[in-house]
Amino acid sequence: MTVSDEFELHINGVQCRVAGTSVTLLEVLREQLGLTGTKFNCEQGECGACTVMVDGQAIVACLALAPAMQGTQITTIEGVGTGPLSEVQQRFIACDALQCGFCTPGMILAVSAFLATDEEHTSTGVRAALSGNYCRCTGYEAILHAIAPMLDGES
Amino acid sequence: MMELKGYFRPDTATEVDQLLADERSSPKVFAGGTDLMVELRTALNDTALVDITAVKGLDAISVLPSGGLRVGAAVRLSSIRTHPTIRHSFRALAEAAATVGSHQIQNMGTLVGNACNASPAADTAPALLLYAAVMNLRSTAGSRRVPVRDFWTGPRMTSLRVGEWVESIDLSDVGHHGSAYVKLGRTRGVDLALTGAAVLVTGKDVRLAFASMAPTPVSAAAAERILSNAVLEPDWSMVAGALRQDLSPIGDIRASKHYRQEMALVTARKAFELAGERSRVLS
Repeated sequence: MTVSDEFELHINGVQCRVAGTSVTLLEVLREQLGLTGTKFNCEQGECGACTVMVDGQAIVACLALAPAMQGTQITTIEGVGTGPLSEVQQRFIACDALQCGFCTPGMILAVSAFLATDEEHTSTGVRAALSGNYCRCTGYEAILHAIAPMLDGES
Repeated sequence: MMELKGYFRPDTATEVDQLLADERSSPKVFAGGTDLMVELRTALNDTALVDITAVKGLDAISVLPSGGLRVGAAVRLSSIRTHPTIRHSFRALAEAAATVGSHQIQNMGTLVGNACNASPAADTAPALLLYAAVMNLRSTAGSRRVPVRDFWTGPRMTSLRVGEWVESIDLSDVGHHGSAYVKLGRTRGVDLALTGAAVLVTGKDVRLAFASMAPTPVSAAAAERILSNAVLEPDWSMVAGALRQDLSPIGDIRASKHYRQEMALVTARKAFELAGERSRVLS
């Protein structure tokens, strides 16, 4: 594959035509597809604001090379709760688990991906699963409170 | 981001060999991309990426006839964290993988990539030393095996030759043992190790290796001798003296040399106690 080739990515259930060998998934989502729910922040994979799901696993789109994502199923925040909101989304709203909302898309995808794994859903485990998602507003307590009822119980 | 010369995703190891042999394209091996993508923004120019993740079999973890384990180059750190055999029989490695970055980084990054990036702070590296890991290298010139202690030659430097790549890592079966990895970072979240201590305790010996305490991941040979010969409780002041011989930390923005040296003893002791407890569990 050479630079500037066009290829297809499967995003939120839809095949999308995108272009460019030297672009990240984050750039493709925001600049080519207008899916700006996934946020651009540290560009180093540390803050988690660009978290999306690839084949059900949370990844950071800023470090994902777009052509390397061919053949995968990508889910962004725009693809979560498209009918009624998902349980995670409803809990976030009910518990005021967001203030500015910048970390929220990534946070919701990281939580959702964690709950879909078959690792034990403990409060220690969810803290580890969210350690790559920074929030500057809430202090994390409201987020953890929102998802507590969805866990298996104390570890 | 830099414009790439090309992106290739071959299906076979032979094609990877051939792509890496074309020096004009400045090819680099790409798997998870978690280190490479950060570099591509700042340091690398005119590079072609050879994505190895579609090569059949590279995502396998398989038991060797010797009882050891072979981990393919495309195995993600999250698989190392969760794999039942690794959690049970190579526990320090599973614990180490769980501390690398975040779950997002672990879902992308690979064990082999962590080793090949050769940061002195690589969290999985001390456990690879404990389990006497061997790197299986290949290129168009053939294959060779390099013990991991000879693989790291300096900060971010390995003994990989031009055109060579790591196809898998072999971990040896050490029999009944307990192991642990204890990492000290500024936070418990996404952070490099200020110091990371991995310990393995068998009936006969104790192995101890560190991240972030030398230009490469390093085995603390003098400290290992004291710990292996200790009958009951080790003399920790003697261990501290041995660690001053074994280790050569730097001071940087994350920690001073002095603090790292002090914390090396603290983390080693915690890891030793955990590994010891685990070695006394019968199954």
